[in-house]
Amino acid sequence: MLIAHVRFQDMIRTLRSRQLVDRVDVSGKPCLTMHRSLQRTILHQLDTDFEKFQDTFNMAYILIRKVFPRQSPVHNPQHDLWGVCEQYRSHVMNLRAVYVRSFQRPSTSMEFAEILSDAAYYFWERNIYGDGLRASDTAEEICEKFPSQFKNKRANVHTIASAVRWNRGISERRGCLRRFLKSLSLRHQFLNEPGDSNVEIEDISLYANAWNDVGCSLLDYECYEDAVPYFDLSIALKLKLGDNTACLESLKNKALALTGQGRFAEAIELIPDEASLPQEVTEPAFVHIFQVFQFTWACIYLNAGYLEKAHEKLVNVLGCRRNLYGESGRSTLDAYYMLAIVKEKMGDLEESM
Amino acid sequence: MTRQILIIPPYRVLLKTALENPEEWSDESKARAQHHLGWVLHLVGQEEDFRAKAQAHLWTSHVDYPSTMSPDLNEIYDHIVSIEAGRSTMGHFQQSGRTPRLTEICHLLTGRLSSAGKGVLTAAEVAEICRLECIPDLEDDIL
Amino acid sequence: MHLKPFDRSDGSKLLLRHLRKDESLTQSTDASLISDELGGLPLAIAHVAGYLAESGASLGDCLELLKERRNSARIFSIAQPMTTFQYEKTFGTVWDVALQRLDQDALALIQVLSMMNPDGVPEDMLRGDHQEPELEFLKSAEILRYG
Repeated sequence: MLIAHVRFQDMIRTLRSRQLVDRVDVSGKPCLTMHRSLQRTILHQLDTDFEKFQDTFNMAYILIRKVFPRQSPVHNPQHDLWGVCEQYRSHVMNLRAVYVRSFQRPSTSMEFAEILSDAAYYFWERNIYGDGLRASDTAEEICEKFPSQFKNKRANVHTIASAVRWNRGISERRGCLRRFLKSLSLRHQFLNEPGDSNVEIEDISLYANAWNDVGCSLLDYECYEDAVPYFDLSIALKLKLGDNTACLESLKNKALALTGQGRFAEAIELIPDEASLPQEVTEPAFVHIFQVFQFTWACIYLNAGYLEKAHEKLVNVLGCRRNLYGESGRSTLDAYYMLAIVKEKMGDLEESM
Repeated sequence: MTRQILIIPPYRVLLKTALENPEEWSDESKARAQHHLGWVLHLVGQEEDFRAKAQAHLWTSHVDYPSTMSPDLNEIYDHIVSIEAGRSTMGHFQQSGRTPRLTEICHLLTGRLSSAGKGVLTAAEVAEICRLECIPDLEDDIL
Repeated sequence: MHLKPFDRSDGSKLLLRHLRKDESLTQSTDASLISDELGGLPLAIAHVAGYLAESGASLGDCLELLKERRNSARIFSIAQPMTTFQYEKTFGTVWDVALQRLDQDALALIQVLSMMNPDGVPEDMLRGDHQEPELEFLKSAEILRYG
């Protein structure tokens, strides 16, 4: 006799026969659905038995953790994981909702904060800021329960929490800087812990990124002169590890800081010839990162008065962003705005009337 | 990067397109775009000048330094938005000294790394260079 | 009895009709969100309408209440009679009979499902070669035996 998946199929059969779940086909995969009101009813029942509620929460977490991708250990782009993240993001957020809506919250570990931060990382990459804020807020709340442990992990959480806020503007500026400073402090504490054998290259990369992030926050404040040394330190750390490609981000930001000081020639010198860039930077898989570089370089050219170059880059960026984030994605709208400014400076104002 | 042929409409249409989907935009970016569009329409006598209202609200709600640091509204609006959103008037609103203790540490560590020579180091060696006897609580190092 | 949910628009209209309220933009928006929270289930919508009629709470207040389970548990367990609700028991007991008859494994499974997105949990996310003891009931190894 053939015995396969028997116990599981019996459970499904039982639940379907009592109209408690339905089986539907989603993109060729069998999925189970249930009424939200039934869900709520079951949660109400679980709320009356905390031990059972905790056990069920733990099981749900384990199952979701097995499928939802972890963020890059050094916060590299993860475009190739967007499909998987999109498929399972709703389960992370649903579990989060179960957690925050509980009068008596289940006990959680740093791992739950991590999965929320992993989801926030995906939301940040995709410009999905509402869910990004929700996920990272809850992750940060959980971090508060571990004030002296998991320094690097907590730093990751605060870094992502800042990243999803950074695009907002002056209303979140202080909060962003505070979080980036917290993250840098935690990474520094981690490096200063006894036992050098614990330190990996990734830890130094993240430490270098943390200096870069604080520098970016200073750019927001228009502390351009102050920001330059932060980018220089980030670059120096990465060069000491032999990672030249990783310096591109800080070089881009340094160019922006120089632009803010009116040092246009020096800033433009830091804009590389795209043909000379490593393939891993310009290939289609990383377009969502490279267009950010293009946007920054366009802003530098705009401020330096090279309008044609700014226009050319912004047209490319707008096309990319419409594909990546849709017509109404925040980054797309930013590209529309900057292109409008370039056209205004090119004298397109008359034509619009 | 994928090359696309886009037909780019005129300035005012670009701004209007962006403002048609305001829900995805931050209040700051929206206010800046409204300011510019309002300026254009005001120039041709089509709409009243509503620039100042949005800017005043955002400034008084979130900032503890005066807007009179710059008399130019374009600069003020550019300062309000994140640099990630792009700025066309950089450099006119300069500040400094916002994280003094951290900047000192930054210079100290850069000097140490420079003194370590040009060669590649191990992670443990870099960590040793970055070791400090006392790590300040940096979270409140914001002036 | 298979309970079919309403879509957002119909759920909103049902709620407002029960409450005899106009379909202004704010009311419709709040009613739609409440319908979403209840999964568009007509019984649940009718029950909540009854609660709102009795308590005098606004749609906005109700939405806030439903966000915390302690509050929604109270609403679901309120006894009848209510003007809009024809079922003689509390709404919270609608599924009691079905749930009570489940064996331990099936009950554990549906409890886990209650913490995930109800619009679709892939089966291959649940069954697998799990090593964790608490997931033993979902362990699904293929065994071929020839008898």
